[in-house]
Amino acid sequence: MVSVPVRTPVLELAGISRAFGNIQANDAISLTVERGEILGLVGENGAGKSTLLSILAGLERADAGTVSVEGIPVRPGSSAASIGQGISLVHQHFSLVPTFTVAEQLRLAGWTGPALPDVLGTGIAPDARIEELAPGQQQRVELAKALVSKPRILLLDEPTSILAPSEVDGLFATLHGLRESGTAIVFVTHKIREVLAHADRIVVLRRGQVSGEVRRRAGEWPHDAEQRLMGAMFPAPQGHPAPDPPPALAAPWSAPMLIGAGVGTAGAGGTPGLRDVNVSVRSGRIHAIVGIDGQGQGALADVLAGYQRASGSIEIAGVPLTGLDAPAFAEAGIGFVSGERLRDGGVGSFSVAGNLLLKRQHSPEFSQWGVLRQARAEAAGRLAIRQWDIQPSDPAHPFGALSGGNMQKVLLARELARLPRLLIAVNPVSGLDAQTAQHVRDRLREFVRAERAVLWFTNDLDDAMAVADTISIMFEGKLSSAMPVQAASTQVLSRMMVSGW
Amino acid sequence: MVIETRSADVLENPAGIKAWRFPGWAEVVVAVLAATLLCGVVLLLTGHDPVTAYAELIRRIMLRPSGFAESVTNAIPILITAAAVLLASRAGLWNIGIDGQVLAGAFAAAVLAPLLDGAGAGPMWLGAAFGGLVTGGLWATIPALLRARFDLNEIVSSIMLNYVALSLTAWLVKGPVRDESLVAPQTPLIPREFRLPELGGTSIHAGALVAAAIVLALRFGLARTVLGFELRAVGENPRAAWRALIPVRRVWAGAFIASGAVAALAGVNDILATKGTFQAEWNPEYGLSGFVVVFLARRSMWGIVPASLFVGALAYGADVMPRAAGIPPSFFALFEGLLLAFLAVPELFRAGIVSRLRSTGERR
Repeated sequence: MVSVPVRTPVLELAGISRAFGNIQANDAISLTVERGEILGLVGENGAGKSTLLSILAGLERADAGTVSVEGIPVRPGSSAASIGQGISLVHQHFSLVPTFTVAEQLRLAGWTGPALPDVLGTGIAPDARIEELAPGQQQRVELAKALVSKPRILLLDEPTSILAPSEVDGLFATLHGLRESGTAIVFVTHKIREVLAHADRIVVLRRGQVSGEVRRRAGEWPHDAEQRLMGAMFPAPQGHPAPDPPPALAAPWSAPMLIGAGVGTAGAGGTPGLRDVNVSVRSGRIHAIVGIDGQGQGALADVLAGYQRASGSIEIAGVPLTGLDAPAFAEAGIGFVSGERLRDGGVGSFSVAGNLLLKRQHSPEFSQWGVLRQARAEAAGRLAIRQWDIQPSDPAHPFGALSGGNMQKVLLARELARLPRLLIAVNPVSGLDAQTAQHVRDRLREFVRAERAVLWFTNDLDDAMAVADTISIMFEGKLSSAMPVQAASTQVLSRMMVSGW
Repeated sequence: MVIETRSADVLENPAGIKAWRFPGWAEVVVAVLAATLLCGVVLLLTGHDPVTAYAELIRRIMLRPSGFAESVTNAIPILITAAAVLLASRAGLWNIGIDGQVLAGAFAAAVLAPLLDGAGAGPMWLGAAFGGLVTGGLWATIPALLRARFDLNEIVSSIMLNYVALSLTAWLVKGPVRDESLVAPQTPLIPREFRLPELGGTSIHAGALVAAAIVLALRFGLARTVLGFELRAVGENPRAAWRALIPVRRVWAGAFIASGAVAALAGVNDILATKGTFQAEWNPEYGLSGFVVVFLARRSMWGIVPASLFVGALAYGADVMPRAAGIPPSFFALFEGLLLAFLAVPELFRAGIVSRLRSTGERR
């Protein structure tokens, strides 16, 4: 008799619900995951994906519903029980000890062998300190850590959000290998292209509920898979609005807004220093600087915003700023939006209005004789909330309780209200859902029309191609010359990102 | 160590920067009850009847006008030090140097006041208060600058300076500024008519008004002024404050120095109101009480007023209960210490269960 391969669910969720205050993060979610299956879980910010992963990993307790692994219920709210039954989670924000070495970190997770796990790949030394690794490398360590317990089910929260294209391929190659050995994989992402390329089945969450599911059959997606996914994510009657036509390039002779010449810094903590970087951003343009994480973009952004000193010269709209500090740069018209929204961007325990007031508390509009004009600050908060469609629309809502997309809107609203000549934005749409990302792109496009400019740092080439007028690549502390996006080829650029020029 | 806030985005948003989450109201009540119960057991073991002892304590504080007035009098310097602790804590700093700053302020007031007795009571008080404020602020400047310039932990340096302040004032009082006409080493006694007056019809002195004014001023300053806004931003998230162009290190130094100056007023209060002189080796040790109050009040500027009264009443108990019921003063120190420990316990649980180390990255 020929044995028919029976696909048995290794993980089963029945009626999982979880509310936070008035927000129903998960609403009676039922799902099964089979052995050797890659399940892609997609949805907008706040759709409940992360909460669901937390419940599976035992970090959160569900209000109702059960999780079982191979038919055996998992004790709720215990991460030890979840790990014991073979569920392992790779966090989006890593749970690593910065001062540990890679070997110490893995030993902490129960690793005993002398040889480093294969999943680390080459280039990560066992005695390298975690804080000296680039984010992509840290994620490898996080993944290796999650695999130490030989899980039957591997959960990944936004695993590609900080990876460069080449690193993404490596990650998925690893995941496909794990699938071959029977591990079930659940990964959460915003990127539809990614799930279509790598998942066996895609489940869409919307407002805490399962709103759609597509399955690959014999390796093929149904022909309308993408439309069905978009429809489940954005069920607006007209569907997703068509993207804007590519903007006409501003006049080629527009004045340079920012000129950095011969900028150099010493390297620190495993990231290369800047090596004779020349950068120029013209008025009316969005210029993107793209690179794999840890090529010196952070240092360049800090130097151009005045947060870090460097050799060489910098001028904004003809005003020389060499040797001055961040307040002087801001005064001359630099705006800055950090890529770390909650760590460096806003104050989590302050209200939305309070965060919108930051950087403007000294302006006569918002204070007099050193006393805050609270009514005005609140009115300005309400205006920004309306203009940017920030949810919830309460100026007293704590910033730290906003979704990533809404945090980003607050931070951008704050910077743009100061009318900077040049806005420096680091990964401004990373981790945002498609709609919010488009909103941000549209706003910044509108912003540069008024004789202003944006310098957009990103590790995502597609993201840069979708928004920028000109692009340059950062590699090992060097910056390539700027190329118009229309003339650039993705192939050439991604090769430059990985191996320089 | 960083504690997660419980929100729908536990995984999507790394935690805020505050390294310590203050107890919730329920936890405050439980801590007070737990300290009361455990201390009751101690009373039982040492041969006292806890019910009778607590009933006697409450009777003396609540039902005797003198008991209430004494509790309020005790609460005044505690409230001032609590306000000082809270001010530094809002900037994200722990001022453990309160005791030294109190001594610095008291010493300055005790030396200045007798020199100003020709000018009348009002100028004497103002002069002594100003001198105390400056001396306390200067004493706090040492740990403040070490922190702001060299990232030296203010907890360690300010604790050490408490011992220095105790020895230094004792030496000064035994030597250079001793009143030779008195047998005990102390500064010249301020006459009764130059002490802070009692408020009409009560035995509570005018220091209560000063303490209330300090609370009001700090509350307004923190909540409504640009400086207060910046100070709170630094305390809540120094990285974001730095990115928002706030001079974080200057704010740290300023907040710590201001905290020391405020704490010094507790010492000035004692000299001008109750003690009248600075005796060598005198050390009221208000610092611990100030911390207990701040924790009891969950870091609320209004909350420290009732919390100070509670701790002031305990101090009154330590005064009267030895005679009334044979309970030693150390019992009340035990109560206060256990209270602080119980207020800290929930944090240990949270730290063990929900803390997650945050992703690493570039450092400032």
